[in-house]
Amino acid sequence: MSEVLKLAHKVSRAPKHLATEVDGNIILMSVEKGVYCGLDDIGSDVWRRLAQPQSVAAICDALIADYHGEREQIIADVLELLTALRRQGLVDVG
Amino acid sequence: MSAERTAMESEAAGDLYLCGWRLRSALPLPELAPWTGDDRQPDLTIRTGSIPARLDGARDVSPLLQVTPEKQARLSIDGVATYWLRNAGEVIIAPQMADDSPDIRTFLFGTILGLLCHSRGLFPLHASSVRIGDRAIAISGMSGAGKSTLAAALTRRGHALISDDVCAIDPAAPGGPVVLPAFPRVKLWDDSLAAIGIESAGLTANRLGQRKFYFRFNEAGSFQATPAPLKAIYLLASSNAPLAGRSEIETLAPTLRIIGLHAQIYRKRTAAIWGLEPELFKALGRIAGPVDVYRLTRTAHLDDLAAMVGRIEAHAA
Repeated sequence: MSEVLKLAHKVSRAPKHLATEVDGNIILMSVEKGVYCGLDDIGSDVWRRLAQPQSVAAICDALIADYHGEREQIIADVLELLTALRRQGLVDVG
Repeated sequence: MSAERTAMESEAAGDLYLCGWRLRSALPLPELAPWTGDDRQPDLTIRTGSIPARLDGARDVSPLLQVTPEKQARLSIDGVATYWLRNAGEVIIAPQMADDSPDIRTFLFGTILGLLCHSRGLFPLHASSVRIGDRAIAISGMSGAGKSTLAAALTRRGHALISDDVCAIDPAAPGGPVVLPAFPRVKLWDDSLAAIGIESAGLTANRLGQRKFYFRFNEAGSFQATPAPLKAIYLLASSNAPLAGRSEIETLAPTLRIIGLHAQIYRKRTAAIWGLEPELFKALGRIAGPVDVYRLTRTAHLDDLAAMVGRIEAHAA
């Protein structure tokens, strides 16, 4: 669980969460931890993609293609986001 | 109280309006407006009768409230009444005092109304609301934060009160969220009454021994039962030392709107037992998108009330 998140890891939405959407942005609540988490546009995009469990690499590849962003920056941002969501009990790994 | 009471069906002509529902009640409910809608069967019936001491499969939300996963609930208020929400269309009441005692209605229009909203698919916000123009504003906050006082002061300015304490919202209404009016009534502490220029003598005491009173506004006769589009929600934040001693109204970012509204879902623990949390959380977004949500920090001083009312009017216009 404390293992560093890697591109090969498969990630999915944790079953115990609450989700809603305001003006296109997703807001999550971890039921167990009682923590709220507001996602920006790209974070909301990542959350929508997590409806299908997939590898971190697959998510990054899709974002790189869609946003034409710099590969290393997108990978760093996605890893940071997913690590934070895992810490809040909102994303399961493996 | 062991004696079985005969559930008296009132005539259809005596049916009442509550939050869009056609209500038939064996208990007198003088706060409610008469039903003037279509000739449907009653959506909700209130009877008197005996109530089991323990509901099958019940969990204790509090020493007073049992809740079952099948969306039943049993609320017991010692010396007042026991209430049994038997299904979404039927409430049984076993009074322990005279049928027309206001104490009985305090809990009927509080916890029981909130649970009825949950079981009937409405979103109960802990808020009072008034109609300003053809839309509604809701004033939300913890008990004692000043919801009813502010709402009453707005009503004295000619705006119709449409709910008190439990604000029934339909988040999925076709044109956006609407408030389903409850009744033209408000609960107030008598110091609040003095501040808006109403004497407490002659009003009906809310609960015996409590200095809180019901009263009905003169405008009650013009109560409008039509749903009111919800324009704005003010989340009351009490502050002992607001900046410069003045009240403040701030716009909230989306995440703070959701957090603020989530804390004010009425009887949320029971809704969770009923499995309604995911749907309620989604509804928060449906409300917080089109509806303006503000944080209102107010001073504890009642002399600040008139200024506050003026600012809300200007704001909501």
